[in-house]
Amino acid sequence: MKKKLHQLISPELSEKETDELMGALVTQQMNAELRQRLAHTLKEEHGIRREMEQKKGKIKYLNYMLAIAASITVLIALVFYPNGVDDSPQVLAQQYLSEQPLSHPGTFKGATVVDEQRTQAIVAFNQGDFTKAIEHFEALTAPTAEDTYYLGLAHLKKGDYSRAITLLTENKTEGKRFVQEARWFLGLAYLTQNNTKNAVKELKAINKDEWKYDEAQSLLEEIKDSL
Amino acid sequence: MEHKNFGLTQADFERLVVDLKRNDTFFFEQVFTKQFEETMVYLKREFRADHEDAYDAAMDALVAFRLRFVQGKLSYGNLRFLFTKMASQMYLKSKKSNVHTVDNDLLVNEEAVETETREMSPEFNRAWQKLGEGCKELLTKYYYGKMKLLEIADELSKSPATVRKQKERCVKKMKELISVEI
Repeated sequence: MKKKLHQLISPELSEKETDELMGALVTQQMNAELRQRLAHTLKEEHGIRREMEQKKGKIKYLNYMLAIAASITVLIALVFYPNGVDDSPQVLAQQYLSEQPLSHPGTFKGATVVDEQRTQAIVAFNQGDFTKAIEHFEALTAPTAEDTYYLGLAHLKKGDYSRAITLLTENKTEGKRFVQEARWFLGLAYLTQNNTKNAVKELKAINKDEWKYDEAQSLLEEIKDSL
Repeated sequence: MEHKNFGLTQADFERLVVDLKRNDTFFFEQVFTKQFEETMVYLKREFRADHEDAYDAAMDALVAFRLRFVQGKLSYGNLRFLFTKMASQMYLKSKKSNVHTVDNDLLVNEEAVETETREMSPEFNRAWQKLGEGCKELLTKYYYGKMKLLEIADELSKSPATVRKQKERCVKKMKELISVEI
């Protein structure tokens, strides 16, 4: 950068070169100022920071409670299993489910009744109000694959594993868009229901370059060790 | 049509371009910061981007989008699609991925992916802060807003010759201020 500044003040620079260099430097300055303003607006008005932010409101509270629950589980395991922590696949599956941040990317602005239901569903989902999210997703008359997927996730987060499994399986077979995610969440859902056979089937179907492959392999190892 | 363009009407779009040329970014910030999180979530889902990478890619896309607005390279039609694709390109470029292997449709055009430094130069910044407001405004409209001197002259109700001389004086002043800082 200093080299460019030295070039700019050099008397040998032509008018055209001065113009180009000054243009580049002014642009860099203004872009940096724009980034600062945008970062400030994102932080103050939308709660979005560059660093992974602490979630607010219900979601933060929920994760805090789940973290406490997970810690209590570990403590109980330490008391009853002094030789080691119980890393049973079911416990791990629960931990993955509780730790996995989930948010819906949102929808386009629109004024139709269907869109309003979807908007309400998405807002509720992102606020962690899965009961309300389910209510609105189920009210959609023409749900998309994305709607079914997030409805399945809402049931999963609410603990309705059977319903979640039905929806995620249906979603997985209907289209490829959420296949990777569905396999992972189906694996977790089956494990929480102690359905090891189907859990293994889903986790093994996650290929090496796909989402959550490493975690799936860890879970498969745990399942193997527990048998 | 509006839903494909972040809720903007054609008139809003035209106002946005005029504002950005004058470096009035308020409307731009209001519209696009609302879409920021959606874009980040898209990048996280589609590319398994981590939070910071998704943030940086979305921010880079905002900056690049502003440039395209003032260059007149964007048309009202499907801004949402273009913005999402630009953010995807920014992310893939940051990962030095071979974009051709992902999807050639992602390539809006090669020049769309820019590699400018995000930080400001401290020396340039100090010199810039000392420059008078009139010069800052003129140089910003000319270099950053991509306004022609004729357009600036019209806006300021001055002759093009006067504005040209003023610009030359401002550039000379800026060079003097920079030479003190380095």
